[in-house]
Amino acid sequence: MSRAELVQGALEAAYKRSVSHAAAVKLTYLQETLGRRLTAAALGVKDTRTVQSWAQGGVIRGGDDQEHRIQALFRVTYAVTEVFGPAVAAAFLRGSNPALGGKAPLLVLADEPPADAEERVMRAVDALLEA
Amino acid sequence: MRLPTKRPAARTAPLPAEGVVRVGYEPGELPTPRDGVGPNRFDDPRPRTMDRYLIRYAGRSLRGCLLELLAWLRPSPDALLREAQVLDDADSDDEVQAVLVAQEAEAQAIADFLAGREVGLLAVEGLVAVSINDPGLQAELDREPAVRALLDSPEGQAALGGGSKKAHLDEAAVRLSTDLGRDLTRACSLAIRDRDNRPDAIHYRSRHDDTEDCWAIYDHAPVRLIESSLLDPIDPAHRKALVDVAALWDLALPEGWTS
Repeated sequence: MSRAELVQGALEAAYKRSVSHAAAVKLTYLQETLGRRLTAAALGVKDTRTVQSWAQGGVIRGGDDQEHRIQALFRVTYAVTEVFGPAVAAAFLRGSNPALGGKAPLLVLADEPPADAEERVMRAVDALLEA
Repeated sequence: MRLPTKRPAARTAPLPAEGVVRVGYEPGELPTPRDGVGPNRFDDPRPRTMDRYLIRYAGRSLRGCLLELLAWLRPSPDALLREAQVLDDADSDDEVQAVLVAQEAEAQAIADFLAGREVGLLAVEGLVAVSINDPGLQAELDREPAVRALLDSPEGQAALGGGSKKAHLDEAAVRLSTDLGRDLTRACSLAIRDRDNRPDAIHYRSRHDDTEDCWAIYDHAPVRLIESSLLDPIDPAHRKALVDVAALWDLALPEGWTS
């Protein structure tokens, strides 16, 4: 498989899984890949127990926005992890990103409306995967 | 009445005779074409056009390439603080251990991101470049319709015109690290490519270090890979370049790269 095919496959799989998997599945993946604390921070949650309860099927507070935030974080994390591994995904979320005006993807995902945040951070993912 | 002014003309910016450095999985090759707008500063701004062009990014030195390549990795203090504020049952009181774990993770990220990349030297003799940092070129591009539209947009006015003055393409504009900044440099890239003399490359200074020269080389430019080798800590020049960048940004180095 060529590099370009690997990247394209990762981006497509990340999108498909982000919209088809249940929130609990995505949250379990995120906690295993990024760790509990980073997952909670990127979802704008103050306590890891909240995310843990959602992963076990608890009601997700925050409605559609929070569901969308989980979807966006999953899409970003899955794409980067498939190409570079989980350590790069975690560092990417914490890093001052030039494509985001120096802001960390973690903060964009946690604080901005999820539809806008997903679009902006995925452009930064694109730049990372093409680098 | 205004007297006519003589604007400085855009100058050409010579490329180094010894060649330019490019880091990548196949440093001599062009990036893969895509339908959408490319993510980088001088990529083709037009999605889904028939005559899309591609850009190779290169630097004068390996250090300069690594500065551009690893810029996303510098931890954001705000992000680290936000993460630290999250409550976790598994919290440990051992702060030293927590720092060591974080450094290990950072070093692993650098190792994983750089694995398999090669350092290539590209021959660029005879190529003609202009510099985006040249005030003469900036003044010419300032009048390009696509560039002007971005400068006159509400976002352009807010970012570069202070809300009231007319925004111009200047050093601040070409170094802007936002979506608008990238849209501006991409619009400049297309305008430069469409000039009658069709330059081969755009010179720019690294945003992370003014002394590092970089080039965006158009796909119509005939470049040739002179040599390439795997990015490897055994090579003293490779090790020095990465150690320099890690020291500048206080990054943890992967095993084998520490001097």
